[in-house]
Amino acid sequence: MKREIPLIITALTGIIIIVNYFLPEVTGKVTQVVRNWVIVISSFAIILGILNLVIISLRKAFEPITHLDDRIANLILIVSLVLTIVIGMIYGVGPKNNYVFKISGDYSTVLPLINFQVATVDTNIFNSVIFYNIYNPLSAAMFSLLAFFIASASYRAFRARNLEATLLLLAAAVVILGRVPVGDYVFGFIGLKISVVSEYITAVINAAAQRAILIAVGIGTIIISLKLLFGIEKSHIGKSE
Amino acid sequence: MSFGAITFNLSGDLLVWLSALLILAIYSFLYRDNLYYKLAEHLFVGVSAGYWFVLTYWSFIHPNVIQALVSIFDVNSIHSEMVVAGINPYVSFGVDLPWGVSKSMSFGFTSINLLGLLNIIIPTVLGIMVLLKLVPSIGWVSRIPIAFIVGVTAGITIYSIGIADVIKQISSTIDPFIFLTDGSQIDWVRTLSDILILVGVLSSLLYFYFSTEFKGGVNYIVRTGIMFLMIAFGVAFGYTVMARVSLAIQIFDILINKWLGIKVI
Amino acid sequence: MIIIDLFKRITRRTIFLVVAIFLILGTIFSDVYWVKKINLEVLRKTITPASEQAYDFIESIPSNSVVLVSGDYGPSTRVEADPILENFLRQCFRKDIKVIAISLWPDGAQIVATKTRQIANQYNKVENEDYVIGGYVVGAAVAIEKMGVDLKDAIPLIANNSAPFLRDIKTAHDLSLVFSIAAGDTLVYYIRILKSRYGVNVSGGCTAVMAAEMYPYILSGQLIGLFGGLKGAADYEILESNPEPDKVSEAVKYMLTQSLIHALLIIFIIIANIVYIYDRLKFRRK
Repeated sequence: MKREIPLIITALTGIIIIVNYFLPEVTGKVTQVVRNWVIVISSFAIILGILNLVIISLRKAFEPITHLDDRIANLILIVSLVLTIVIGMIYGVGPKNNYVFKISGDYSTVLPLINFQVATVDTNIFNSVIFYNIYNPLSAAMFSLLAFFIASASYRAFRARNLEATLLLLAAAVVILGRVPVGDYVFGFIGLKISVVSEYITAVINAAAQRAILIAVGIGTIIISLKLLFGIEKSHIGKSE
Repeated sequence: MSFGAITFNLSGDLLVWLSALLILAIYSFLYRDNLYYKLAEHLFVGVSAGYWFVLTYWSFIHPNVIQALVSIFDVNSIHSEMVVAGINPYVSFGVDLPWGVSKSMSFGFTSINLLGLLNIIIPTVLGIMVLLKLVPSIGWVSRIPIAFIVGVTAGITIYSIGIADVIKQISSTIDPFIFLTDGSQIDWVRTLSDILILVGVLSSLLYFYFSTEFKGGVNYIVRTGIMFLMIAFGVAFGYTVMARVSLAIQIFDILINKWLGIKVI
Repeated sequence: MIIIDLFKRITRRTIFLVVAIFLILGTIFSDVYWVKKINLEVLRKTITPASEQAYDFIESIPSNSVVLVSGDYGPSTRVEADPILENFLRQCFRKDIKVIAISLWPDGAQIVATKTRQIANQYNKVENEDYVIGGYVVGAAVAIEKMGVDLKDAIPLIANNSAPFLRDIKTAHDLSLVFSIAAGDTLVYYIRILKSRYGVNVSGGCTAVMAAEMYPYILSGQLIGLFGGLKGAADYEILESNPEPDKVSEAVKYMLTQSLIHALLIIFIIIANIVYIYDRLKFRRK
């Protein structure tokens, strides 16, 4: 029962959605109910993910075998998570100034270099501090590390070893130069519009290969989805029992 | 083409300093893994998880679950009295509804009815069943709501990919590929491009056909396909480079322009 | 060959340092007038056809039509996505097109709300009259499928909104355009579901990472046009406002830094390959 009911539900809901594609009038109401349920369930799934994160971090923070640095880091994770939720629940996410965030006073004795103040005094603290000045720079900085790694990767891995690798290299070089003004500026002196070449490669040769990938991957994805519906693929149900 | 001078204007905004220090903590990873990076990384995970929760709550759970449940049962009489008296209980706690939509928010259901039961109570129960995954002894209960998500996603995937990615792409490939200009001349550029696309799609697709050994003539076609694919990967790499570099640009904008205030006059 | 040996000894950290120096130089000098002027001159001549198609379509939408803009990106890709969103809103408000602004990503909701209000203020547009903000919409593909049947039901925060232009909007089919600025799969979902199933016009922008993968959809007409990455953003700015060099915004300005790093990478690749070919020739001689 613990396995059969979920499998039946998977099959039924999937079939409802597909039938609805062909007979929208007949199955419209049922499908709408199923969709509503799934959206409510997915919003709870987000909460599940967060709770799971809290539990794992708590375990790491208080397990004596964990390294001290990791314990402090996990504590910071939990504290920042709870603080964010508390502030967000109290102040909401709206733009109105429910609360004026202001640091007044003279800091010149503490930090003689600069006269500190806070520029965004009139917005929600959740938006101005947590989102725009903590979450935003952290997230952007985290992902921008990739710029450095891709530079290192192109120096270390990009070699014209054979015909295929050379084609890859040339296509990449044309696009890298063709999408920025410097390419056209430099190649403009020999009368070559490299942006046009880059656009042609992208819109014709690249599009053809991407289309083949799209079709191949598409068929593969459909087969996996069918396997899920027919209960051949059961990974989402978990291990036996 | 002359530069007068370079000026510094260190920011006095505490929040800018906060951003800048967090960025530097993350960037210290480029030198080597260290404690500051680890702390900033965990702070990022914590804040983003909290942020997702708050957004999910105010944008969906609050209007579509909590308020709907309150209105269905009408249990919270204090709440409704306050609403009648024109006091929004959320505002009185210093809470404003997200994006200032509080005034137009209504509850949807005024009494217990079949629709309310169907649209709110059952999915809420299912949603709570998802959370039970954290309780090992009855964790299996969460499979039922997960099954709904998997079923619906699989259903949508089958028809949408089937139509948009497979059928539509195939039909677009085999569309007539001889183009005429206004003067009824053959438009060679477009025609040749389309033939190139046809060749590219067919040869690349053959590469994904694993049921036969690539020998003789087939091998040549597959080799052509691989060339198309390699060029496409090169293009994709070029675009990825562009995207990654852009990401770093915004960080240096914060550091140089907002924080340090360096300017060339 | 001392130089070749030197090149071989370049470590990861050296590369990081050189990239950082170029990023700093680019950022400092990107605000110089004649740099912006040259950038602008080149960019004006090299507008991507896909960007032009997207722009022309929005230009052809009659005023008072309703469009949905979905900013499905987070803070990490703001540099590419923000200018596309801003210019789209400018174009819509300039043409008196009504806008429903949502995000399928929680991180995007805040940005979309702030940006929409900002740009609307510049054009004297009133919230809940000329535009509405739908916040974060949970459910991705499922929510998009719901839009095809009942738009307001799919976006909880506008379900009871009294904006006059929403009165005639029942499903996504009543929208003149769905414009998604995506850092993930959402633009593809809009194409697969709203375009293929419900016949809604779909256009959008995306980060450069995804741009190459979107071209088959442009080719088949499923996607009207595309603003891809920072170049697409710069294209959009030139198409929409064609600014003077002293009035350009970030997207055009950043092209200097982008150019510098791209040129640097090409030099890296050339050096690496010279070393590689040199080694191979030496090996063959032995």
